[in-house]
Amino acid sequence: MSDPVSDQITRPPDGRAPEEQPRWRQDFPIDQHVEQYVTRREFTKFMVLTSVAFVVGQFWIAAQSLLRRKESAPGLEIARLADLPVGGSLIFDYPEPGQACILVRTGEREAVAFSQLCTHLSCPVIAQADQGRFHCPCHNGNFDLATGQPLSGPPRRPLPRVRLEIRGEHVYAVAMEGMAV
Amino acid sequence: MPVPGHLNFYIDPGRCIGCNACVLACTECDSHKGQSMIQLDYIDRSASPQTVPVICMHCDQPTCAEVCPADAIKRTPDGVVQTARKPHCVACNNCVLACPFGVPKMHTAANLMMKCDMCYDRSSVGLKPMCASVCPSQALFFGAADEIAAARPHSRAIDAFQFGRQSITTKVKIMVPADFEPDALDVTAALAGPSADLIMDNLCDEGEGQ
Amino acid sequence: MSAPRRRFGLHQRTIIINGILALIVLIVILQLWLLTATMSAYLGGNTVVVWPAALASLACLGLNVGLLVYLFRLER
Repeated sequence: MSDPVSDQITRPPDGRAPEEQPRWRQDFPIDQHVEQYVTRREFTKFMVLTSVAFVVGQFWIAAQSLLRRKESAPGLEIARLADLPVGGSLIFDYPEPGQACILVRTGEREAVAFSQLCTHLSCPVIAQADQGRFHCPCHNGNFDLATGQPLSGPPRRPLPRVRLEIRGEHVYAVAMEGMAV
Repeated sequence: MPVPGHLNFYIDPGRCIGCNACVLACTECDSHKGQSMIQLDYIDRSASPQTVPVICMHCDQPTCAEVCPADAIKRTPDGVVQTARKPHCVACNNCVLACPFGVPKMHTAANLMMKCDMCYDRSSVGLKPMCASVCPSQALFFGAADEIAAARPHSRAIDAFQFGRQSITTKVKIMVPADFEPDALDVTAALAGPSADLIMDNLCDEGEGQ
Repeated sequence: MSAPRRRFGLHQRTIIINGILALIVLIVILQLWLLTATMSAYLGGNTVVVWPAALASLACLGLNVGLLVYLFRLER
């Protein structure tokens, strides 16, 4: 049980009580042990501020993910079923020009589309519908044709999927799906 | 480890024989890095061979730390005012100019103020500081209060000083004759003549004018 | 709060603050890991973990603020 007065061995030159001293004297004490305490206290406060910053960052990411979901890319007509035989494939840019995706007609009214970039080192994959897979010739990687999951070779993550809608004779790309883990 | 509370430093200027042993021993202290922080002053060389060793008095209101703009001078819980902390010290000389006893020394080569730290590596484990261990006349004495009271019955220890209007109490004590009346040693009054008073008055007036 | 609060000495408070500081630093490092992991997953397209991670980080902040409040109470 000790009070702050006896914590300080150094006495201020004006001889007044520690409570009456200006604030700077509390922030820059002459006694080493008091100073150690003060600096640790300040550092603790700073760490809590850092903690606040991390939470802000987390919620910023969360808000971004909400925004991105809302602004999902608009529907884009990519092919006519009549132009594409069953088992045939087609390269198209989606959602932005220059982002190559690959469309494969898997059935009479069924089609799948994935990003064309291999999830290993971004080589373009080619469709091998007869073997039920996408093949990456760079490092001999293979993905499942139906789901985009990696089958063999270096890739570990699935190909990002493009959600499709078939309206009448036309195939529309409506959204990029996130990668399922 | 702190300096044991019952041990204290006593300076007895009357016993100083001016042998310079303390000045040299000071350089041998591990925490002094070869620098001597003791100054052997002649009181009035033309009239007397009397000398007085000046070591840090470890004030309760350390003026050196008060004036330090870099927050470099700290006092450990045992009351020892330490040498400036190397990462903080900006070698501004404020402490050298401000200390009423003239103790801090600027170590220009290292850009660091160094001062007597009571040989902290020794005194913190209960050993005598270098100077006190070599002083042949024990003008510099490090030990318990009852020890020195028994050894020097005609003296008493005093730890209050007056510099103009600045009152200072110190950890280190000075031995004065037992019949010495005042409670505080008025240092400026002991300086020569009325001119010193005049200077002090002028200084104080200037300080208040600001 | 009617019970008389125990006053700690500076030495005890230094030990307490060292403990608080160690805990807070641990939690902040955990939050840093959470943020980098979430950012990595989010940029990889995985948005499933984003909200649970944000809530976990908020819980960490809650712990930190609690410790800080205890520190302020300690000094009064």
